Amino acid sequence: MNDVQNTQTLVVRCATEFFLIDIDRVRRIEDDLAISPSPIAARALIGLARFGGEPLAIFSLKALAEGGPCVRRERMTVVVAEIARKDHPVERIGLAVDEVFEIHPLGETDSDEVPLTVVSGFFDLGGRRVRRFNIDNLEAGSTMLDNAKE
Amino acid sequence: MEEKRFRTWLGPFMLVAAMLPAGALLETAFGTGQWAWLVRAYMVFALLLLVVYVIAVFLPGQRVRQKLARLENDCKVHQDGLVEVLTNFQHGDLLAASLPGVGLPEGIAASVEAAVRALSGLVQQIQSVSVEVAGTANTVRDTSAQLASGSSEQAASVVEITATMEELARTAAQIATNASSQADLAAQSEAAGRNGAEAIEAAVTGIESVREGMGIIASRAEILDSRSREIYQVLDLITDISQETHILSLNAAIEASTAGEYGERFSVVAREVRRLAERSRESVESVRNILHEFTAAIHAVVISTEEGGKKTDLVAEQARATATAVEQLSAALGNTAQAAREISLATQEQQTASQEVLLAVREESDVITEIAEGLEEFTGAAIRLNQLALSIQLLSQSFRLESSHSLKHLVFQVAQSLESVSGNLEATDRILHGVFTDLPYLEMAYLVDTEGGMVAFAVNRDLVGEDLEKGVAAVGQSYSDRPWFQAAGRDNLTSVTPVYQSLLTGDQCFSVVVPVKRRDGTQEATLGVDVNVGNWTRI
Repeated sequence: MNDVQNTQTLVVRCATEFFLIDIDRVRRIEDDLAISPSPIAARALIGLARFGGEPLAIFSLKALAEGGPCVRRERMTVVVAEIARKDHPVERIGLAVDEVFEIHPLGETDSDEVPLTVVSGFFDLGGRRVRRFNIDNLEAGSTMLDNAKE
Repeated sequence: MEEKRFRTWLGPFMLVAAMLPAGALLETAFGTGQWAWLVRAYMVFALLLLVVYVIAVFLPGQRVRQKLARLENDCKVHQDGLVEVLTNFQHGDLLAASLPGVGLPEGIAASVEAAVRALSGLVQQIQSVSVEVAGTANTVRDTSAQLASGSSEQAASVVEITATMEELARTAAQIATNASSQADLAAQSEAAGRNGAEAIEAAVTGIESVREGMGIIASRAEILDSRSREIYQVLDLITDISQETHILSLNAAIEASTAGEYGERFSVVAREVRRLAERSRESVESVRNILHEFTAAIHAVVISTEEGGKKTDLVAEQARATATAVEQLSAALGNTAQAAREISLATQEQQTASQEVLLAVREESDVITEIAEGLEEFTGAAIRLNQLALSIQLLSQSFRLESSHSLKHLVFQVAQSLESVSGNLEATDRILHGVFTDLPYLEMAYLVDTEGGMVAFAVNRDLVGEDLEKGVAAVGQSYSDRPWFQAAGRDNLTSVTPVYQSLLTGDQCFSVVVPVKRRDGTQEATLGVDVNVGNWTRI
């Protein structure tokens, strides 16, 4: 619990939902990043962007967290995150969000953590109800990532 | 006759009877002596004188007396004849008077007959003329009554017209006064209209200057709006910078977290930078809000200015329209004032004319009233004329002559027909009902016996109607106390009663009464007819 509470997270907003991303999984925040539409009609995949001279797959965090269609724009705020999957090298993906707020320590959760889920229960963050986005648990959607990169 | 002869010769006999004793006495006294021859001579002389008297005086005288007696007898006969003729004249029976007079000398009879003829003709003319006069008098009376009535109505109408004209004159005077007041008011309105037009012109000028000012305000508001847009751009730039600074600070914090303990200070700097960015963003947001309010205010001012300008334009247009309308109104008021002055003059003239008309109507009213009064007097004269005509008619009816206008003769003929059916009640009744065919002006015909009891009667339903009041006439009813019955029975003459009011019709009527005789000349009954004056005079 102390580890959880001391974990620094990045508070982001997607539409009307707020998510927490572990800061140690975040490499950079790019504001107004240009995104090329992806020819692959994959779920949650918005497109590709150039980051550090290399292509970066940009996914909709909201679509990854909840499913459903994703909003595609040519320029979006992107959180460059790293996924550490088992038996996989660290991969970088871009998570398109609507707004990045601040870095905040993770608070108490009012629901049980369900392991291996992309989105956890609600946390109370200064009166704001947020959910934790587990990037590492995106392995459950690795097929999507693989498909996205192919 | 014997007595007359005895008295005629009595004188001479008495002379002889006187002389003989006287002679004897003288002879005795003086028979001897010298006077005896004188006495004898005297006696002889006396006898001779007596003879001469008888021969020369008595006998001629006797003849003269006889002649006188014959003349007296003739005169009596002639007198009776004349009396009979004059009696017929007296009773107006010209027909009887025209019959050959018994005992009248031929010359007198011819003269009487000529006189009767002349009188009959005259009376006949009088009767026919009196009928015409009565008819004309009726017409004059009716016409004058109508004229009098019409004149009265006309007088009443003129009175109403006079009252109406007086009311009209008062109304004209009031209208003239009102028109004069209206003219004054119109003149005041005209002046007020001119003042109003000037005021509106000044208002339009003021509105124009207001619009110019609002235009200036609008242009300056646009300048402010453009400045605010520039400020927005600057704020957007600052916002972008603050956003980038915020992202930068986050990235710095992220880098600091990966740097471990060496990144602690850097994370502090990053945190401060992030706060600075946050403050900057908050300030920008605050400025943006203020600027937004300012911009909204500017927009509101611009909108208000535009709306004000539009309203000003509208007001200016309305003011110009009002000015035009006021000018037109002022012109109209001027025309109205002029018209009111003309109306005032015209109404004053109308008032004068009304007064003159009123005077003329009053004069006419007086004239009509005089005419009405004159017509009433004329109506009275016509009524009197009618009565005189009736009197003349009745007077002319006093004579019986062979004429269709002679009521006595007509009724006499009916009486003669009744004589022929004496005792036959059915025929009598038929004759009585039949008289109305030839004499439609009769109301009733009746037959009364010698005791005055009603034997039969007939009523002219065309005049009287179907309803006959009880007691007016009935078989067996006694009329013995009536003057006409008593005159007919006493004098055995045809008579005409004075005019009286009929119980049957309520109109004026008179009766003609004729005795009905038997074959032997004695009176059997009395025939009477009631003549309706109104219907009789129309025929």
